[in-house]
Parts: sequence; C-alpha cells; structure tokens
Amino acid sequence: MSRIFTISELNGRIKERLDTDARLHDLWAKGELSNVVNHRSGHRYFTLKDSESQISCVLFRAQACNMGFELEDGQNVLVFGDIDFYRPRGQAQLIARGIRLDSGLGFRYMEFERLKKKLSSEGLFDLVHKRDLPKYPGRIGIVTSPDGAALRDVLRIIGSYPAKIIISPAQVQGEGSPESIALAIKALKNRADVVIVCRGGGSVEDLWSFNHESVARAIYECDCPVISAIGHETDVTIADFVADVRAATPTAAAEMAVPDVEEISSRLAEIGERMIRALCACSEMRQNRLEYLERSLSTRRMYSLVGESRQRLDYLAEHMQSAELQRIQMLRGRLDLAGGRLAAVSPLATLSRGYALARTPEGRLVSSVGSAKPGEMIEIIFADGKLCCRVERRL
Amino acid sequence: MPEDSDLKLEEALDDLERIVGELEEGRLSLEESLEIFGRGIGLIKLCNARLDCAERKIESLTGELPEDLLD
Repeated sequence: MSRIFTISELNGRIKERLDTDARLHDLWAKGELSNVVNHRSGHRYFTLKDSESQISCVLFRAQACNMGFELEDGQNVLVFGDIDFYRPRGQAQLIARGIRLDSGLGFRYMEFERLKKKLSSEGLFDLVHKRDLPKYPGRIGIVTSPDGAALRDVLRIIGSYPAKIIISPAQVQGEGSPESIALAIKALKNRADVVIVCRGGGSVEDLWSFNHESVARAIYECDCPVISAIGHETDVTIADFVADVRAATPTAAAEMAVPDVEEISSRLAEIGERMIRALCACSEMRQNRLEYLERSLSTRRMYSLVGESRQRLDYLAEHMQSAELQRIQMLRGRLDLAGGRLAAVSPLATLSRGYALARTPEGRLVSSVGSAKPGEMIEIIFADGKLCCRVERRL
Repeated sequence: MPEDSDLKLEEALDDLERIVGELEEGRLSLEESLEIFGRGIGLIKLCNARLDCAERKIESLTGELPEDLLD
C-alpha cells in the first residue's frame, strides 16, 4: 500500500523538490503585472501573467525601495527571483529580487488604447451622442450578474421608487462574458427607459470584458440612455467612454437613474400648496373687484352724486337768474332813454312852459282863427288841465 | 387626450407644473380655474398613490431571479 501523506507532509515534499531545482532559482520571468498591492508593510504583492497563465509574486520591502519606478497594473515587466512554495496555502510563488520594465506597455493596455482610438475616431464617444437621463423613468433595465453585490446595491438605492425593474442577466467576467454582456444589453431593446450596466469592483482582468468592442457597440446602439458603473471610481473602461453617463459605482448609478421619492413627495406637496394659493389669489382678485364695484355703487356715493348734480343745478339756476335780471335792467335802461327822448318832443313839455292848445270838442286842433266861429265852444288845454271857453268874436 | 389615470409619473408631474403655472398666471375665468384646480388635485392624489404603492416590480428577462430578490 502506498504511503498516505498529511497535507503538511505533502506540501513539505513539494517545497523540497522546488527548492532543489536549480532552474527555478536566479531566474528571469517576463509577463504583465496585475493585482498590484502596495502593502503597508512595504512589501509588494502582484500577479504576473501572460495570455494563458499567471503566478503570484511578492517583492519584499528591501528590494522594493530601490526599484526606481512604481508597479502598476498592465505594465510589462521582467522579474528576477526564485520560485518558492508557500506551504500554508499550497501555492507556488515567485519571490522577486529585482524588477525592470519590459519594453512598451502590456498587450492588454495596447489593445485598450487601440480600441479606444478606433471607437473615438468613429465618433462613439462624441458628446453629441450623449443622451439626457429621463427624470422619472418608468422602466429601469439592469445589465449585470444576478448574483453580484452590484445588483443588490442598485436595487437598494432604487428602493420604493415606482418603476418596473427589468434585470437582464449577464456573465460579467470570464470566457464569453463580453458577448453575454452585449447580448443582455440588446435584449433590453424597447423594454427600458434607462439602462444601468454595472459590475462591482475587481481586478483589471475581472473588468476586462467591459473593454470589449462588442460591449461598446451594444451600449452605443442601445435605444435608451445607458449609465455605466464598472468597478470602482478609479477603474475606467471603454464601456464608460461610450455610455451616456458614467457613474463611479453601481450605487452612484442607481442614484443617478431615479429621483428621490421623498423629493417627489415634497414637490407634490409644494405643487398642491401653490395651486391652492393661486386659486385663492384668483378668487380674492375677483372678490376685491366685486368689493370695489360695490363701493362704487354705495348709497353714500349715490348721495354725493345727487349732491353734485344739485349743486350744479343751483349754479346754473343762479346763473340764469342773474342773466335775466341783467336783461331786464338793460331793457329798463332802454325804456328810460326812449321815455326821455319822447318827453323832449312832447307838446306837453311846451305847454308846461306856459303855452296852451286850442281844440274843438271833437278833438280837432284849432290852429288858426278861421278854424272856430264866434259862439262855438272850444277847449283850451294847459299843462295842468283844460278850460272850456266860448268864442266871442273873431278879431 | 388620455385618461389621467393612464399617465406616467413624469407626465403627471409635467401636467401639474403646467396647471400651477396657468393658475398662477391668473388669466383663466373662475370656472376654468376651478376646473383645472380639480384636475390638479386629482393628479396629486394619483402621484401620491403611485409613490405609496411601494410594491416592487422586478422581472428578469431570463425568467430567473435569485431567491433574495423575489420578495
């Protein structure tokens, strides 16, 4: 019967084999950096990889400080060091003693730049294509993994906002994920007013599906505005460039997608108050007008109107009276004048100077001695009366 | 014109803004004012009812939802 190992024994054996393989010591390995962690102890942890494989690496503080550059995800590097087997986790790792940059950037990074340039030149990132988000979306599409924390963050923020939520599940990392994401976006055609494409934080590789051309085109062709929220704030993907709005996190995306329910409630309350105020103002305005009209027609005003008329009448009457008097006076004046002139030519005036007139009783003027025969009666008229006389003889 | 009860929340809020604007302008006759005021009150009730009905409507295009999202 073959020997049964405990795990410690097994790992110890593996470590021994690796430690004694001279080819796994003082070696150079080349690959692309990812998952770089600058630990506060001063050590650097990272993964070195190529298109098919990866290995965990550690660079201890002593070597890290005289490296001359900062490690960043995506860098192509040459690592000098030894293979070690870390028994507690049963994992082989590369203990780096020196690192230097390999020529140029990592393949992925170059691919990223190439695609970004291509889509940009096609105008996929142009501001003119950026659509405004609907203020009150009725249907919210979410493209993400149904099992991820991102979906739960989004749903928590949407809370009780009354929208229909349509989840379009997608595989967000690994083989086939770009196609899955693109398909999930296309599946929301005609079904949503706004679409959130999201994924929680992860390594550059984990988020890499969102740098795929098919995802970018699906977002561009989406029939409603798209909010992208891929990874954390510092992660930027091609999807973010194409999306109508980029959110730092899925939570932020949800906050952008829906208005605050309490805000709407208070807005409704405000509208209600404004309507009531406006209606009151409207009826008050009419009331004021009515009161004004009423005042205009009040008894007092009527009296004052009548008084005014009476005064006017009095004035006219007075005016008329004085005009009449004036006319009479004028007439009287004329009469006096005429009377004076008449008196001046009257024979009576002559009589008052001592002259007298002789008349027959019939009233015929006796103007010559031949006009009366002796024996006839004549009247002698003086200013103060007349005498009846008999003609005695003619001389 | 569609019935108010068919309006989306956004349309209802837009209508409300318009109604308030018209009322505040004060150019309508009293009868017209009262009529649109009545409609406005109806719309406010409608919106509040929509907001109060906190029932979540979640569906998945694949028809499957994780257990914790079903409630």
